[in-house]
Amino acid sequence: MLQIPSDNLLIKKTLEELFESPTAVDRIVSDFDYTTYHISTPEEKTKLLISIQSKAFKDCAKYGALEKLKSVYAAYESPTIEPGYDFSLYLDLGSISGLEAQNEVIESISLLKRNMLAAPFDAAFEEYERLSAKHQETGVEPETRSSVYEINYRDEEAIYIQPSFDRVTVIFSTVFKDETDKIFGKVFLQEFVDARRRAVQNAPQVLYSHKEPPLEVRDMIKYSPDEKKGYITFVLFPRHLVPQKRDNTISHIQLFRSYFHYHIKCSKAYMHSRMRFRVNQYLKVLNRAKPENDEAVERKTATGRRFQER
Amino acid sequence: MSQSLRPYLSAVRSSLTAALCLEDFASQMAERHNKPEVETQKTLEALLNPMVIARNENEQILIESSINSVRVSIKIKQADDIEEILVHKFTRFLTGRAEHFFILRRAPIEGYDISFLITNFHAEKMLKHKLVDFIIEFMEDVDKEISEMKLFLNARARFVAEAYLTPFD
Amino acid sequence: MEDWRRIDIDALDPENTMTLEELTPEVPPVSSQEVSSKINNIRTLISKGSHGDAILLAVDEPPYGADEQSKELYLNTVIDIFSATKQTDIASIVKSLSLEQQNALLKYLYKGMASKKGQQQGGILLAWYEKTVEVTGLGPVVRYLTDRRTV
Repeated sequence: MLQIPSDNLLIKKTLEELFESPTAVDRIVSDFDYTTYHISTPEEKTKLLISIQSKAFKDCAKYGALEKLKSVYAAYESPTIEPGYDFSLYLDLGSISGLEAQNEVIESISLLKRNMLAAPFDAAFEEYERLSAKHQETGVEPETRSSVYEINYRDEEAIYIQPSFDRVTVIFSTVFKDETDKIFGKVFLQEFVDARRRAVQNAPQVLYSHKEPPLEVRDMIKYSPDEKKGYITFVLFPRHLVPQKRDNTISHIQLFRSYFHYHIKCSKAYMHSRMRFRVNQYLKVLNRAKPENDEAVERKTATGRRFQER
Repeated sequence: MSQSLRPYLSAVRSSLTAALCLEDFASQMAERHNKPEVETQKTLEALLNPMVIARNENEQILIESSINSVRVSIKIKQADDIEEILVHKFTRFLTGRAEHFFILRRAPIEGYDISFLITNFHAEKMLKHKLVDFIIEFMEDVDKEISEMKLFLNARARFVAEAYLTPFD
Repeated sequence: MEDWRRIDIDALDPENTMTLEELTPEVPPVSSQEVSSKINNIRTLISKGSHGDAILLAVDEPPYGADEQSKELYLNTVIDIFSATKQTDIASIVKSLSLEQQNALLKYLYKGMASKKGQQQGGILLAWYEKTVEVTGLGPVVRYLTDRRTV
């Protein structure tokens, strides 16, 4: 599996099952970045309550996540939000008939987290459009820097989005838990930077820095030189922000951190299996040093009698 | 094989062959004990001159010999921090399995990446020239393995980066 | 009085262990002047280009009895001869040496590889080592291990 899909497979499967044969459920489903879903049937088998809880919700709400979710899931909005969760959907399985309609619902609900996290991106992209239009009209470059959208989606890691009149800058801060991750991460990031020059010219520009946050967000972060932290900057150009590409761009860039760390882990796992193989190889060489077991040859006395063990 | 690797390995081979001349030797410090003298370093008359064979400053091997044991410590080439971490991981992986390797020392001695301790008991059970072969093969392979792993990591990173950036198009 | 149970009484018994002094064989002391005059002689031979003679002089009666600093200087000179000599000449030079001189040569090779200067020229020392052992066999290696007279 190379790409990480934006939808949640577990939710998808659960809903598919439930559409087929409604049963009473009470499930906790998890997703990336400390996001958890709760799927339950509080009243009866066909009435589903689906709630989402996420670290990023508080920040996303600042940029209109609630409104966005309400508009996307208007048909299934729950009148009350389940305590301990950030947003709830209420789904009557009986009211949706037809395989196509069902699949559509499943698809849209499995993208719940994606849609929530998309809100700040949407807001930033709209601001970019406003700035860009203004620039076209007046022909002057806006002097003031526009505000930075901050999403603290993990304990020590955050996404920063800064719209400008000709680009949108997305910055990820990420933490490397151990030394190996840090070094592997460096190798990967270097390749991200180089990839654009080499193969995919139309991709967003990628920059990265260790320890020091980039200028755009320097005043937002309590700056302390931290060995373990890294910052990755994506510069999205107008090419990526046109309406027909926008959704794709959002879905894709959201998952950067998961994708990045996932592949670091994969490389480590591969190294491990490779070392295991190599160690076995060495053991074989070492075992060759042991002389062949020649006990097997039966020894007899001169008269042909066998030795007897007592 | 590169130009200077062959004389390096052949020098290690002849030095090891000369050093691996072990016999049983009861400890003179503790009654009824039998300890590798090279580890205790207490009985000076049982210790021999240490040998260093160096290809350059970053690649060398130290052979410390004594009457009943030989300690072989290897410094593996580490050109950058990727190789450093790979060597570290690899040697840790090996020392974690020291039990199976009989002659592997659980911790390398200071300044080296991995150490072997061959005692007279090992030499009695195993063929001496094959033990030497093992050390040589190990040294030969470990460099190859590390550089292959590094190449692989780069190739994988490149592929992953391109795969991520392509859908933006 | 500290805890007398913890005193290592074996260490106090002179009969029990041999000291380094007892183990080192007696060698005639060599003064640093003698070493430096020998170094000068060798250097003259190197600059004349007669590397074979320089080696011969260097490994003939090496200064076992000198102090560490002079030995260090002497070693550096020997390494210089090593790197000055053509690779193709090595085998014939080694063959011309007596057994005792070959032993001393190998001692310098090992000591050279343990020193910083020698490690920077690892390739040259290894070439010397290879050619020497080809000629002499393992004898000098074993004698290096056991000989307490260090260079």
